[in-house]
Amino acid sequence: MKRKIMLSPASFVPGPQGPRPLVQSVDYCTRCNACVQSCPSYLLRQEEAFSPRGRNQIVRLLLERKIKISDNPSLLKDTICACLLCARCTAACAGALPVPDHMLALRRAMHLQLLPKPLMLLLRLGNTCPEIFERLVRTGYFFRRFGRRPIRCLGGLLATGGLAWLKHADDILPQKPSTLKTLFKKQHIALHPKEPDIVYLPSFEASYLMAQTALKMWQLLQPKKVYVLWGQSSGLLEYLYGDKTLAVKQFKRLLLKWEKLGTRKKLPLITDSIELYGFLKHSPVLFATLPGWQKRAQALADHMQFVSHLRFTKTVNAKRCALDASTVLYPAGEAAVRAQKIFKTHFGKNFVECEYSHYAIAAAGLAFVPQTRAEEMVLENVKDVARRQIQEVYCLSGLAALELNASLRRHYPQAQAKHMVFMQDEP
Amino acid sequence: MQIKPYVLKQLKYLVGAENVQTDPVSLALNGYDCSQSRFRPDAVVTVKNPSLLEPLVCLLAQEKIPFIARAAATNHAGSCSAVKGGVVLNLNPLHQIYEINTACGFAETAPCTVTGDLQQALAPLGFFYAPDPASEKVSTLSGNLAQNASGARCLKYGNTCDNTLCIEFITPQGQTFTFRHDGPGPDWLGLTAGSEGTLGLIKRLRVKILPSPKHVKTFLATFPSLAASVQTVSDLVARGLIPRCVEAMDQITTQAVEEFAHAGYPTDAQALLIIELDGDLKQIKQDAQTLEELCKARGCQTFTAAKTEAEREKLWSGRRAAYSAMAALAPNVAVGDGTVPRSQLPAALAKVRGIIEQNGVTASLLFHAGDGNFHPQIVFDARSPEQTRRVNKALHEILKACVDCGGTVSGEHGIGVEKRAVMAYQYSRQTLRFFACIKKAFDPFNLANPGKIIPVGFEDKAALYQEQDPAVCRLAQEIKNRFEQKEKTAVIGSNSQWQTSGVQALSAACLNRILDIDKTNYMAVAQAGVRVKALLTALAQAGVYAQLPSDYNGTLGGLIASKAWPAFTAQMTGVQAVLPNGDIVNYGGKLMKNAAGYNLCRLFAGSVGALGMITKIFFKIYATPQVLPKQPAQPKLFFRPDPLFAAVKKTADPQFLFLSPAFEEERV
Repeated sequence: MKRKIMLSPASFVPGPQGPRPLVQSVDYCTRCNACVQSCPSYLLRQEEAFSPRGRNQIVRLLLERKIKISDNPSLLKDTICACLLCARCTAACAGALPVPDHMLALRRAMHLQLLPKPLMLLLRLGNTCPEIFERLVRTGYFFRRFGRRPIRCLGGLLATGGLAWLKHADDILPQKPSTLKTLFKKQHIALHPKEPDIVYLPSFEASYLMAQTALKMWQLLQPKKVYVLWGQSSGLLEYLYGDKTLAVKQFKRLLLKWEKLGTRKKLPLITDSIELYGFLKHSPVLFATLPGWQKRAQALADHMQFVSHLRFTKTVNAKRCALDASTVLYPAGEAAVRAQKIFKTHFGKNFVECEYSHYAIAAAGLAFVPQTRAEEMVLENVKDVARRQIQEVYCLSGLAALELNASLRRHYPQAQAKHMVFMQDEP
Repeated sequence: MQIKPYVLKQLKYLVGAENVQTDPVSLALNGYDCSQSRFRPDAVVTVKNPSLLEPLVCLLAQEKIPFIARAAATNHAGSCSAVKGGVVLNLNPLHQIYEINTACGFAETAPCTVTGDLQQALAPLGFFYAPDPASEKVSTLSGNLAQNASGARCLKYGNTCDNTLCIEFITPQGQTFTFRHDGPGPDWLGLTAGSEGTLGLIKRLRVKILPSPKHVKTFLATFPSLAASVQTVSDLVARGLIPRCVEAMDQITTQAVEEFAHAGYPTDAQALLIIELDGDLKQIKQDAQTLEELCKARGCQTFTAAKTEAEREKLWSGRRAAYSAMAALAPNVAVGDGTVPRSQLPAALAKVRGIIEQNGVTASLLFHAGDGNFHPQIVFDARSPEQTRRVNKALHEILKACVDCGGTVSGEHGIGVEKRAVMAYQYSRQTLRFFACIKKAFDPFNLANPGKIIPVGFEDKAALYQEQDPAVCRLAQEIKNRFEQKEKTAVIGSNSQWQTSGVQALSAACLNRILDIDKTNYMAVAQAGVRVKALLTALAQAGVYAQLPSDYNGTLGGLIASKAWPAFTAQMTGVQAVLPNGDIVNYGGKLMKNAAGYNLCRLFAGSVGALGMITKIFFKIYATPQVLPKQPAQPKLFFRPDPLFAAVKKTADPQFLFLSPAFEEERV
């Protein structure tokens, strides 16, 4: 049975002076095209439909009923999926138009066509019953020992949208993966100490794929008492790929939990993923029509922290390094700028300043782009690393590090990509 | 108009099925640009290989399907919208830089190389490409040339046309030609600049690159009146001090910008100038002193220099944020573009402010004070028909005010569909008829970007031109009589080169007056029959100089028509000529920039009297002696005309009444 696709003109998106309805926001595009050269997917495709201006016009024309989704659903799907949601167009736009949010609105309107049902179910499982999800992931790892095929099959099921990396999960996942819960158990670390000082919200990858990141994060936060919110969904995945109402529900649950933890004094909430940070910082836009909730969401956004908010002790690193500021979703500019400052002070001359345009497409693997093009993008990235003789590339998101590391391992093994938390190695 | 299935099949065969789109989404997405016009084409073809352009154009010409070249589509005039349907050619994938040659000072690129990308590639080599349109980060080289978009540095370094050395051009019939400025015959490269794709497609470009100046210094000066600021710029030019760019804002704009960007501009001044000097340190120091003196002499309130790079960046941030400041105010920004002679700027700006207030719209007013080009940015909400109507009315009135001040309706944005109507106000019926004739010669079936530049129904809307000068009138009447009696004419100046004889000869020697030496705009106007030597003497007496050879014996008209001194073509800003049928056409004036209509200066330069008789010339003059090319003036008279020249000649003068050395065979 086909469901009707509805694009809600009244859904709210962020604007320079606070949230405004989608229908009003798209009208603010003057079609000046200042955004176009900042869009990684346009630079590859060179077609209007893949430019931020084109995407914005699609939403506008759909709302004006000048085109229909049924006119060319495959092109629409392609262009929506190829949007990395990196918001660099927003940064380039004179009116700071939130094109990623327009794309998300369209994604949501089309979500039934974008992600297969089993995947959505699986994602919800990860949010609602983390234990069962963990078991599933571990089964996947178990099967991997018997060859590449089983996880490929799983990848086939998941290889859509933002989970395209699962296609080559064999290549990119660490050899000895473990989930956060098991690793912390092995290290005799309590996940939920009493009277915590700080709340740590691990990202999806730190929870299930590369728990070392979470452990390192925990170590960096010492001697504070860290409350780890494992298996707590933030609503980010639903916000990106699913229902907005579900996203709001999940976010509300997180909000309540956080409020409950800090009854006396509001606790800072820290995360290791720049996407998660960006999403939670922008969460008030979810409640544009509910001022009460908006205020509470704003309180959470104000207490949000990222790895770059931590103090790193000064050490000398002799390796040439670079920072990959690529992110999916909002650019979370100040966090990235802060990170850059940290690297500059720590690595001094060894820190190579990179052109944002090259590095931001490390996230290419995270979004849906045709395989050959994704390889082209990544290869361009690797070439740049090689040209500058960089030995270490630090990323602000675990998934970006995974993706970039896989291609580096294949084409330029002299360099490796790491999450930012690993910038201070143990002596 | 529907494209027949077999044509689509052929198109798909030629460029690949994935590169031909006919679905409503793709069509809607390729039907707009930065203006308000939206027209859906019938198909979109993405061209990924430049060698496919000729067969593609041939196929479309054979099937008589209109085509529109589309690159970044950043123009503000509706120049690349498919008014009459047809095929939109998406040329964006053609963006390679083929060669950068710093020894010979050129870069060779594919048509849709982004201007900003070229600048980025040149910067590490210590070179730069002079034109800098505001949208240079996204606009393409061929797009800039097609609109003749120039930017702020135009005053010192010339416009895009002057900075393009050579192009490969595909006519609407699919023939490829190589155009350069100095070849014999008309300057086709100059004619295609600003033609908005109505004459054909650009396939490849070779542009001039220059060594980057070692030092750049930026100054901010505020003035108690607009007139004082403009006069300061004229004083600068008079002293021979040509800044890299001179940007200006009026008080209302400064206040809006300051509120938005906090660039540190004083908001109490009526006018604000941002002046940038470049060159070596010693020179800049000297120039800065002169600059300060001149500004103070005109009563400037504040004069500050940016001491550090950060300060310089801050000064520019305000100017750059002007568009953003307006874009944040309302959903739509209509950017106008008009150019007037520099001396007319204060009057024109006062008129524009009046129009803005009269129509009750909000607008900022930026202008390139150096070249008399201004851009009102009017904010409005396109969803409200009432607002849109008011804005369009205001824009049209502003353009008409420009024309009334002796200016043009477009300095660098082009005409497209949005300004077509006002073309009938600026140009006479005869001139527009001649524009149509040029278009017809290049494109007999009206396939290349149809419906642009030339206004619909201009025969009724445009006024007939009446010449005041009795000498020109007499000549025009004589030519008209000969046209009616089908008598041949041989146009001569002093007859120093062609040395033709007989009754057919018609000399322009009677037009021997220097009409104006304008030291405010640094322009001179002379009739075509003036001898170059006499002209140079008169200019020297007035204390100004021109880029003319001192050893040339003939007349100014002869020098231009025979392209004896190709460098002078770029110095011409306006021309008047009598066509073989006795019509008088006028183009340009005392304007530094003009992107309205086809550049007739470039067409008549090198036309060896085949297309008409040049009667009046507007050209640039300078306060300092000019460095001239060392080679002597070489008239190019006897050459084999290329097919384009023959086609234009055939359309403009079907009976071959105007004899010309280039068309000697016809004479026989």
